[in-house]
Amino acid sequence: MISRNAIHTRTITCGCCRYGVSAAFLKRSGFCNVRGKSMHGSFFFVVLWIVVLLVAIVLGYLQQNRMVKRKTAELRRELFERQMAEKELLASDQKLRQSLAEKESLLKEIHHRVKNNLQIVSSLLYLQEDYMTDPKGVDILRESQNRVKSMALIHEQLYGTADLAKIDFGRYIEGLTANLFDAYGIDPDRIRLNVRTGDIALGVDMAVPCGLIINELVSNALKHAFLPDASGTIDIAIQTPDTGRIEMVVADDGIGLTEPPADAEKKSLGLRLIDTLTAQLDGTLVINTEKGTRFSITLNAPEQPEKES
Amino acid sequence: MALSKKTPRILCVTSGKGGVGKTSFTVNFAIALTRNDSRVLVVDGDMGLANVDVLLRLSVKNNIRDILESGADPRQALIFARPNLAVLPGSSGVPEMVSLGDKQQSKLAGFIKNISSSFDYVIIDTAAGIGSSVLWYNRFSDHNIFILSPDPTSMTDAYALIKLLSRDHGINRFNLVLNFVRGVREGNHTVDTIKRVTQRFLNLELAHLGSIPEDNAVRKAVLDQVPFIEQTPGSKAARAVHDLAERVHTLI
Repeated sequence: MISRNAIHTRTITCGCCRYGVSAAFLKRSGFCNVRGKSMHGSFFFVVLWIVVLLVAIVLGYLQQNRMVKRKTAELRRELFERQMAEKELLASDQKLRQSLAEKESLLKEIHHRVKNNLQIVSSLLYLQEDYMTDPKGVDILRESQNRVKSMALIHEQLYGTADLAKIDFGRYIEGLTANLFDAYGIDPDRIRLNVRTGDIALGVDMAVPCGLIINELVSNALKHAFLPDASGTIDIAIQTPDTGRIEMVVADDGIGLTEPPADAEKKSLGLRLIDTLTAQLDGTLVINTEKGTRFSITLNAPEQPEKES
Repeated sequence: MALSKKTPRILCVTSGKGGVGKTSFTVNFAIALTRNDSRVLVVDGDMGLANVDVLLRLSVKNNIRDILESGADPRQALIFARPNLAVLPGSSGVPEMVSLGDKQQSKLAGFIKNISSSFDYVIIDTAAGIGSSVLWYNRFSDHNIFILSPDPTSMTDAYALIKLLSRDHGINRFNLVLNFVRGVREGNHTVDTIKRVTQRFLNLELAHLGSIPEDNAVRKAVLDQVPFIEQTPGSKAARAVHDLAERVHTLI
């Protein structure tokens, strides 16, 4: 008698094949009982399972392949669309740049013509001096010339630089004061000029009134602050103490200013201009006459952009 | 009393990119049209490197350049390749013919109008690229057929030419024929892609006339210098071209 738990290895005859397997294992696994007849049926089921598994694998592979192909086609289409979009963007960017360059040229041309016209006005005033016998009239014409020139200089600087919207106000002040020294025939060794300006860029709207104010203050100092042979110094300082404000200081160490009349009608045109322009720009004017004359004007100004390096 | 003449429909076959099968399509499409009892004139508009005559094994005595220069009767240059199929051969290896001047353009327009009166269809096979002759032929024609393959370079070039013709030459109706297509799905994807791009950036609707499948019979026919529609009438490509000819009235 064979023990129940003993493991027997016997030869199973199955069709034309012979397999050496553990009978107990086959019995336990339920694939077949050890009788040869039922082994044939179990083997059929094993093969069937394998075939089903293989078919499932193949179908899965085909399905996956189809999905990969579809996804690839979608990605290709998207890639093509993106490439075309990039080309269109580049083309429109180029078009915009071209348009911008044209507008810049046009704007430069306009500033150039404005400057030329202002220079013509200044020249006409200069020519009219010859017909003026009254020295006071000549002075008035010369002052008007300087005012027009100070405006022309802004337009000249605008078309001469890369930034058409803003001008370097420090550079502008240097040009303006050089013109005034030249117009009044002042020897720079007699009256020295110190200009201290920060990195301030102003738009045309702001630069024109500010330029006119500086023009009036420096002209006033050159004409009245110093006795004919006396030497001295004019200081110009422009800074932005806080955002949105500009402080302009024009000071001289000359003979000092007599108290300006309170009545606006009695003031000189220069002083009236300073008052009006300061009020227009919502600014304040402080005059100090302790040591020479010191005009301090604080104005509202739009935020100064950082200059491109 | 003036005799009323039937005006032929002028079709321009173009692509932007070279090697997409413009000439092969032109020749086989023309033959397919003749099978429907239409009289067809094929103008070899590839003014620099013409080869319609090569595909049809024609012996050329006079070409477009000769008649433009000599002012001779353009009918002298016509070759009847088949009973209802005439060919006006182009010049080959003549760089100056690639860009047509204004005078040459109006002269050529007069010639084509003159000789086309006895035909139902005039099919112009243009050169690759965006040369002045290509642009002129496209403007001159009634219908523009773009041949393109699923290759992205072909689509890019076709798009560039469509953009140029629509933006600078006022043409806004284009028909697409896809060549070398492997399967209906690939053809639909390609058409969908280029349609979406032209719709998005040019606001243009394109018409899809049909697709020609990739077929070894085409390559063999080109090597044998015989139109595949005649050499292997039962091939997939030949059947597709016949279908396209049947739909010629749907051209926009």
